[in-house]
Amino acid sequence: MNIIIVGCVRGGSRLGRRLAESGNHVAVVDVDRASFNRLGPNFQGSTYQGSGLDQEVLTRAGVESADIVYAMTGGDNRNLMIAQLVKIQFEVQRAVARLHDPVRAEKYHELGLETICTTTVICGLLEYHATNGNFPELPLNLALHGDHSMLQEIKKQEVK
Amino acid sequence: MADKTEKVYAIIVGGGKIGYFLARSLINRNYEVLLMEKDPSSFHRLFADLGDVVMQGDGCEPTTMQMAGVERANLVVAATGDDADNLVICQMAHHCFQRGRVIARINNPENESIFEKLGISERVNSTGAILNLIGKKMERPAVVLMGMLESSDIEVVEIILEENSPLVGANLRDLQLPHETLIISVLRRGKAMIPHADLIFAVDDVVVALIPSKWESTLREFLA
Repeated sequence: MNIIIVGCVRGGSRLGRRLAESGNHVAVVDVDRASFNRLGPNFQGSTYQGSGLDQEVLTRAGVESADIVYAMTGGDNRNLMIAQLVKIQFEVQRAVARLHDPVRAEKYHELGLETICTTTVICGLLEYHATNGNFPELPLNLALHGDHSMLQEIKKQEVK
Repeated sequence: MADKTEKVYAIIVGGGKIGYFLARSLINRNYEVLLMEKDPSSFHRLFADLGDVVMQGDGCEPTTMQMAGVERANLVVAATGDDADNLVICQMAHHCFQRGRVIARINNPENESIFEKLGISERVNSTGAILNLIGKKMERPAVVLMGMLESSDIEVVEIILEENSPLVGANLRDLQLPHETLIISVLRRGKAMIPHADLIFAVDDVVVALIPSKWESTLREFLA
């Protein structure tokens, strides 16, 4: 699959790295070139410096042949605009906006946009923890408690 | 009392230069105005100037907009310097409160078409508008003000005829000039002539005319 990820801080870089590892064609966009360091030394995808709201940058990143776009910047409104922009202007079939605000997340979901809300997901898990004394068994390998494999990857690189 | 309830209520989101001056202008035009600003320090600065008209809050949040009285607002203007914020302010106002009259400021002219496609029908492309105006100023002006006739509102203007001027090749007799425009002289290759009816205008002619101030913009449009 051709995947574009906009925003390369923690969430975006992790998602980009993992989707590239599992064999997807990944392009990552961020305004800050230094943020691409988070993708690690073994990242096989491509990186594009620029704003994810800039249609020229998106075109360079291959938006016209993208199957899916993940909007993962730090701003909810930016993510909402990016997701709508790629769907409407570039006819990308699927776009997901990562959001912190539950209200906006549900409202735009009602309007037909795919949204995922960090706040409701995390709070749901914590609520479960408060009631049951532990976190639920999750169907996927969600690395619920964090993941520092990135650190080992960098150490291995240094040893070589 | 009756007068108060009939006031048009406008919520302006974003207290930058545009939001601030828009708020002041609407207040002067007897609108009921609320100016919403997210940033605390900008809010305090605006509050010291405009008082209760200013509210601190995020215009993307429905609870904040509800407190601002969005349900009875006649008009919501998204006037921040960030197009993504303006888009979401408009969409939330429209979809949560069915506010019909929502106006978006667009900062990056490139975003005009996406706003349009997303159904934001009332848009003000602030950067584009300013660029247009500056562009107009930078063109060689078609009409140059030379002075005013004493104790009157009649201007003496100079019109330099460029190749694309509608005057070039025209005969003074047949010329349909804007209202009350009187051509008093034509300078051709440095020599001043008193124009006669058979005169045919040529490129580089400098036409000196009298015109009441109020018709100057009409003359400019005529020459454009």
